Amino acid sequence: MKRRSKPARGMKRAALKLTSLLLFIAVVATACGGGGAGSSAEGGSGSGGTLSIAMSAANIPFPSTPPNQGYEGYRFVGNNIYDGLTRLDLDQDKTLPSPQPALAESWTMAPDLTTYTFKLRKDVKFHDGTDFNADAVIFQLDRLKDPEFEYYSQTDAANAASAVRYIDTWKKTDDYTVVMTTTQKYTWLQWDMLSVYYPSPAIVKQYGNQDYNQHATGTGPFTMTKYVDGEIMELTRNDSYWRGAAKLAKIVLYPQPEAASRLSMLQSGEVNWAEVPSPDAVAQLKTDGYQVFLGKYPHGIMPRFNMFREPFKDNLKLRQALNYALDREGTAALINEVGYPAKQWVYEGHPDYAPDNPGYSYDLAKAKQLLSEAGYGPGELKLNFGYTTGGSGNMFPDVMMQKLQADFKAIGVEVTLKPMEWTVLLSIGLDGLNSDKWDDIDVLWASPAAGMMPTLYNSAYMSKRPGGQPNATGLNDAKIDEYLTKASQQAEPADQHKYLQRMMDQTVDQAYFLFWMHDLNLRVMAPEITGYVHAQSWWVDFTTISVGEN
Amino acid sequence: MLRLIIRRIGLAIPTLIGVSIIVFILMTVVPGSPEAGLVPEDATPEERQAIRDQLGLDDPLPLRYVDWAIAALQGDLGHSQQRRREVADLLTQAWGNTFILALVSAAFGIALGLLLGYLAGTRRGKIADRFISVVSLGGLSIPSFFLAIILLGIFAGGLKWFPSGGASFDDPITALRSLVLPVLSGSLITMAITARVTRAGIVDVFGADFVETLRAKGLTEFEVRRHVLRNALSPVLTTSGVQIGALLGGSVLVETIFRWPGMGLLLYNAISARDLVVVQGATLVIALTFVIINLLVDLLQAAIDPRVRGAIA
Repeated sequence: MKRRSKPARGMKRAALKLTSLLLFIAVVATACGGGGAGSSAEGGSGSGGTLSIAMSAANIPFPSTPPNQGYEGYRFVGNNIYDGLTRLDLDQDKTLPSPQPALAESWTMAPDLTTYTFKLRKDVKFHDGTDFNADAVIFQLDRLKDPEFEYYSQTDAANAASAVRYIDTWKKTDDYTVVMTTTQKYTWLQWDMLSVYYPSPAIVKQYGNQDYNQHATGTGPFTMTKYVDGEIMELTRNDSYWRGAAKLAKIVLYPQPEAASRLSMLQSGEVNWAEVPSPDAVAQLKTDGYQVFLGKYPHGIMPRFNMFREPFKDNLKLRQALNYALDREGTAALINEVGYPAKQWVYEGHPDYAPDNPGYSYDLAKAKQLLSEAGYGPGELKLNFGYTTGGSGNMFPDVMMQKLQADFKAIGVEVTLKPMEWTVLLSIGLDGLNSDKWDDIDVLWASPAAGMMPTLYNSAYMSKRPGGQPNATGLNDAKIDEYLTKASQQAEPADQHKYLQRMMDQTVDQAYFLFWMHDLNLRVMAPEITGYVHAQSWWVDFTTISVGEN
Repeated sequence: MLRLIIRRIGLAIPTLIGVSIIVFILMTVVPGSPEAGLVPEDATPEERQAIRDQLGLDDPLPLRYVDWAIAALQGDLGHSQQRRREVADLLTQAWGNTFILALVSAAFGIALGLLLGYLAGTRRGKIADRFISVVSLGGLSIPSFFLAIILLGIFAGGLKWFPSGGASFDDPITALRSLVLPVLSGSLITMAITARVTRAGIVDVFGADFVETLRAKGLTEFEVRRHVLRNALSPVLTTSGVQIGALLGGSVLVETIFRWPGMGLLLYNAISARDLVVVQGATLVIALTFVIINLLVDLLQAAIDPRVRGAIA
C-alpha cells in the first residue's frame, strides 16, 4: 500500500485536532452558558407574557380548517385560532381527555344513534366581530362536504375527510341549533367534532379559499396577527374569548425540524418552549434549571406486519417470536428513558387497555422456540423493514431501528433497513402494502396517536378502509371488525371501552403489531413558564399558561 | 464581447430546458405520491382521485411538462397546493433571502480566501503557509452542517452572542447578528477553495519567466506582487463563480439548521412533499442563476485577462 507523504499526514492530524478543539469548545460553552437562559425570554409583562415555541415541524402549519402538519398543526395553530363544537379537557393530566362542550354548549343523541342535535353558544363572536351561529356551522360543513357549494374547498375537504366521514345530512333548525345525521349508527361524532374548525364565513367570502390562510379568522383564544409562511406565526390573545381570555399575551411559533437547533434556540433564550430535544441533552437541561416534562400520552411506535402475504400471513408464531425478541428496556435506555416498553397498542391506564393481557416480555429462548415452530431456523428469515428517518412524532427512528435490527439478529432474523421519507410512508399508507410499488416491505414503521381518540383506530385495525379498499397492511380479522364497530355503536362510554378492550386483547393475542415503545412526550420549557398541564394528549391547553407570572 | 454574450445566452436555453426535463422526470420516478400529505390514510379512492385531478397528476407526462413549460414561458410558474401559494411568490421570497446570505457569504469567503491564499503563496514553505494550508484543509474537510451545529452550541446556545437562526431584517444590527453564524458556516468551503486556488496560482505565477523580467526591469517587490496577483486571479474568478452559483442555489443544511428561509430550505421541503411545481420552479431559478453567474465571470475574466479576450476574439 502506498504511504501518504509526511506533510499530508501532518495536515490531516492538524485538521483532526482543529475539529476536536472546536467540539470541545462547543461542549464547554454549552455547559457553561445554559443556566437561566430561558429566563431571558420575553415575558413578565404583567399580561401573561409571550410564549415562544420551537416546533419540530418543518414549516408553520397552515391556519386552514383543518391545518396541515398533523397533530402539531392542531396543537399549536388549530386549537388556538379556532374552536370545534367540542373540545378536549386538556386542563387536567389525570385522565385521558374526552370531548367537552365548546362551541356547542350541549349535544344530544337520539335513541336511533344516528341523529345528533347540537345546541350552540349564543355569546360567541369570530375575531372579525361577526357572530358565530348555526349559519356558520352549516357554511363550514358545506365547505367540507358539498362539492356544489360556492365556497367548497377541495383541499380542506380532503384533509378533513376522516372527521366528517360519518356525517350524512346537516341542517339548522334555528339560529343556534344544528342537527346532523350519520350514515350509520355512530356514537363518536362528538370526537369527530373536536377537529372540525369553524372559520368566519365573512372572511372566507371576502378572500376566497385560495387567500384565506393569510387572513385566517376563527373564534379561538388567540387571533393570528402575523404569519410568514416558512418563518413565523404570531398569535395574540383574544380578549373577548368566550371561555375567558387566555393568560398569555402572545404565542410565537417557529418551525425547526433540527433537534440541535431547537435546543440552541431554547438555550439562547429565543424561545422558552422546545419540542422534543435530543434525549442526550435532558440531563444537562435539568441541571441548568429547565423544566423537563415527561408523561404518558397516547403515542407509540407500533410497526405493522405485512399481512397480505408470507411470512406473516397466517403465521401467528412468527409474529409472536418477533414480539418476544424485542428488548424494549434496552431501547428505552438507548433513548434515555424518554419512552418506555409497550405491552399493548395503548398504554396501561388507558381506558381501552385490556386489563388481563400482559403482552410480550423480552424472552430470547421463547422467541427462538417460536421462530423454529414457525418454520424458520437461524439465518433463514430475511426481512425488509421500511421506516421513516424523521418527521414530527416519530421519536428517534435511526437509533431505535438499529437496536431492533440487533434484537432480531440475536434470534437469527436478518433485517434490511429501508429508510424512507415521511411522505413515502404516507404514500404507502394510501397505496397499501399490496401495491406493486411496496410489496417488498415485510414490516412497516407506524407511529400512531394510539388511543387519543377512538375514531383513530379505524385505519390501522379495520379490515376495510372507506371505499372498500383493504387495510393498508392487510390486517383482516372479523372479530376486530366486530368489536370496533360495536364500540362505535354503544351509547355509554363504559360499553365502548369494554368492546375496545376486547379488541386490544385480540390484537395482542394475535400479535398483529410489533408492540414496541410508548412515547413519554418529551418537552422542555424555560423555568419562568407556569400553568402548563402535561395532558395525556397530543394537544395542549394554552389558555392556562403564562410566562413570568406565578 | 457581444458575441460571447449572445453565444452564452444561446447555450443557456437548451441548458435550462434540459435541466427542467431531467428534474421533471426525476420527480416523477422518485417514490412517494404528491397527494400523500393532502389526504388522510383512510381517504376513499374518490377523495384521493379528486386531489390527483386537481394536481393534474394523471395527465400524460409530456403533456404535463409542456403545459408547465408554456405557462413558465409566460411567467406563470404555477400554484403550489402543498404551500397554498403561488410558486413565483415562494421563489421571490426564498431567493431574496438566499441572495442576501449568498452575497455576504461569498464576499466574506472570497475576501478571506484571497487574503489567506495570497499570504500563503507569497510565504511558500514558511510557517504561515503551513498554518493557512491546515486552515484551508480544515475548511474543506469540516462539513458545513457540522460547523453550523458547533457554532450554534458555542455562540447561540452557550455564549448567546448571536441568534440561533431566522432571517431578521428589522434593523441593520439585528440583520448583521442573524447573518454571522450562517455566513461563517456557509462560507467556509468558499474560503478554503479560494485560499487554495489563490495560493496555487500565486506560486505558479511567481515561477514564471516574466516575474524575473519584471524584477530585472527594476520594479519594486510591491509592483511585482501586484502583477503576480493579477495574473493569478483568473482561476480564482472561475472557482468564485462556481462558488457564488452554489451559494445562490441555497444550502439545504445551513438554511435548515439556522431557519434561514431560502432556496435550499424551500427546495428541500418541496422535494420532501413531492411538490413538483415548486421543485421545477426552484431548479429553473437555480439553473438560471448559475448561467448568469458563469456569464458574468467570463465577462469579468475577459475584462481583466487579455489572453481570454484574445481567445474570445
